Amino acid sequence: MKKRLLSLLLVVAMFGAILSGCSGSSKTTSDQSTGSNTSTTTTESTTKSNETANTENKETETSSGDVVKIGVLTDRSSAGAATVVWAEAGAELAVKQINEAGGIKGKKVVLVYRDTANDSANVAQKATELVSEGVVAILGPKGDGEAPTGAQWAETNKFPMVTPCTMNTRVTIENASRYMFSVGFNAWAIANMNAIYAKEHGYKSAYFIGNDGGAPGDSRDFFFRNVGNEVENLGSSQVASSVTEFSTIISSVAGKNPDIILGGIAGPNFVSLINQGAQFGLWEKAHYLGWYTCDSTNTSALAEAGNYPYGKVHGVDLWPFWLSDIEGNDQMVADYAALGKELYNQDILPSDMGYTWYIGIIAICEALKTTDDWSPEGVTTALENVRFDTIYGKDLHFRDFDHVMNHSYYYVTAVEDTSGKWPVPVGEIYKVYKAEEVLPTKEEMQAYAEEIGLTFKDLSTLKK
Amino acid sequence: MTVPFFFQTLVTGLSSGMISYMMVAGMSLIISGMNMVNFGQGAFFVLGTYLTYTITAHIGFIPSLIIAPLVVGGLGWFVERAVRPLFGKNMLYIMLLTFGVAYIVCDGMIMIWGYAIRLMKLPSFLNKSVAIFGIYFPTYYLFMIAVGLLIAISFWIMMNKTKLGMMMRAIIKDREMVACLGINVNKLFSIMFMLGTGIAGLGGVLNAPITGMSPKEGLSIFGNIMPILMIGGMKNMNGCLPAALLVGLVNAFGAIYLPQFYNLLPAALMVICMFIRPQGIFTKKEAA
Repeated sequence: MKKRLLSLLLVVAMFGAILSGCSGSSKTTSDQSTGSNTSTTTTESTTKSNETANTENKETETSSGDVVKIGVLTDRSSAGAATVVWAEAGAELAVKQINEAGGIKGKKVVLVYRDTANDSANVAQKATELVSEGVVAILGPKGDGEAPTGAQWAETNKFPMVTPCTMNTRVTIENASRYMFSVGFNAWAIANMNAIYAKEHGYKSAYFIGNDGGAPGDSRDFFFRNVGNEVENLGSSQVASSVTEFSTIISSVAGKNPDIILGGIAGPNFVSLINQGAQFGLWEKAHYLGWYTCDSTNTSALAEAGNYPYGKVHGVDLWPFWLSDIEGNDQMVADYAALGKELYNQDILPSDMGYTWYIGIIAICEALKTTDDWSPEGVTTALENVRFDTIYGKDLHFRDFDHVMNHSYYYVTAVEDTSGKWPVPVGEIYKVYKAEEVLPTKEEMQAYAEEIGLTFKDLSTLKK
Repeated sequence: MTVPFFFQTLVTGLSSGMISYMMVAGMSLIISGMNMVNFGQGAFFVLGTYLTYTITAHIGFIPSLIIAPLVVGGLGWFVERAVRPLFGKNMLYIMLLTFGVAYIVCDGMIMIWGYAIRLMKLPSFLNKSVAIFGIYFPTYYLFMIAVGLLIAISFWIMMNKTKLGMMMRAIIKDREMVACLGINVNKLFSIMFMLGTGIAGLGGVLNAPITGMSPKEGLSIFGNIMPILMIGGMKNMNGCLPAALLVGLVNAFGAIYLPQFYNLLPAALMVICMFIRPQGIFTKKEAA
């Protein structure tokens, strides 16, 4: 009897811990729920995505009172959750700055979170839940694998969505939507920048290692289209995001002796690949080209373990956190770190992912400031027309034909910081590209769409 | 393919298989002896990795090879006690409970260590290459093979040459008879579960210096070992090692010849094996 009672108490305690564990360690006050992390697609989700979100009555809810709600589709459950603190801290930093400056039309900005667990099957349901919470726009989804579903939902429900993930043609061509906006990297632009670097440095062969998402695929395909016969394609390995054992791939790649490893991975995958590559001596021969190059979520663990191949990793960054001569940069880095500690009890260093979430919230808030109409159509139109400045660039806006933000891109080589200020790699700038230099033109996108048998949707023709 | 390249690939495949063997061996012991699937096995693996990060900083890597599995095994004791009231009931209850355990362990790791991706620095004596017949191999991967073989041999000796192993084999064959003989079956279950989770923890220790890990990986790693379990035979502990090594080698050579299908290879191998021998390639068919 005693043993049964003890066992029962243990079970109750464990379920109690599950319930408290589900609320996570975050101190963010917004609502949140944990989505399923299974990958099965259910008809329930599809049915819900087909229901038009009831937004007509929400205008009064969203604009009444002292708050304006912005929804966030996050990932706190999957393996990709390793970077969630850095991402959310960026969004929270933007909210803090805006609220300290008086909010939007006197209203305080509040973030409402929903967890999609990096599963596209959850996107529609969680986005619909956010709408029912009275949000005026949604930041998300987090992963590029979820973005096509997000675009489909946004189009069906005619609700504005701003995604910080790496944009790719699965969205901009295959699922183009007037209601979808991108503040993240752009895979086609990354491919162009990597191709320029490869050609200018005389690399002759490349092997691609990436995740199974739209962005890695684009970064590979457009790279080889750009370089043509100048760089030999030695092959391609795409791995699931849960894979962290790369020794077999690295062993196979080492035997092919490539000049460059073209990378389309981040987070634990990146750390594992670089580390195991170092153990096999891969970086003595090859260079790595990718993006999120100096993102601390990718670099911290490697730098701490003493296994970062300084000078061998090149690629694109959006946040040049190491440039103290940019006025306000150091303060932003400090505020970002402070928020990470305050809200998540986590020591965080700058992250491109955090930067894209920051810019996403800024873009939404700047759009809201320009209009009194906070209905989905009103906010969408405002996003189409918004222009704003940050300490990193002026006249940031979304391109009218594909709704991709016109960031400046920093192409860097990750090097050791000689000043001693940064325990992580910093970027030795190769070139700063303007958006129009590397993003695909409308004509290029039209030609590519025709090539793959699709019709390119010019979003500028849908402007209201 | 050159000869050095072949042997390098062979070693890589074997070492990769050894890491998988650690998780699968423990899982197979639990399934065989207790007739339950522990969905928390991946979480215990990752817990072993995270314990290594902390323990190694204080007392070094080699002692953590012993201490981390002991701690993980100790935690396994609590889980087994929680599961025990559900023995004999619908298998779904046990699966759900162990699934919940996985979430608790992963969230517990987040509370203690945070979300950040972690990686351990290899001890200097293992962070080298060694030349064998003129072919260079990373020392640590040879070390993993050696440790894995040591565990496999120890496991075999324990199961076949000790009284404890004899009782475990008896429970696997006929649990009720063992209970009738007056042997404390519950105590043996506890030992089995602790051994099973402890071996997974040891796998996590070996994994710490090579892969970047985050706590939530514990929920997804489990899916990677199911093909090995099915190929070896779910209740065949002897089949775990050859199955794990087979999958490791298939991954290693498949990465060279079929890189575009790298994700599919273990699952495809599992499907082929299920068609040929549903009970597992390394399992004898049960008499009708």
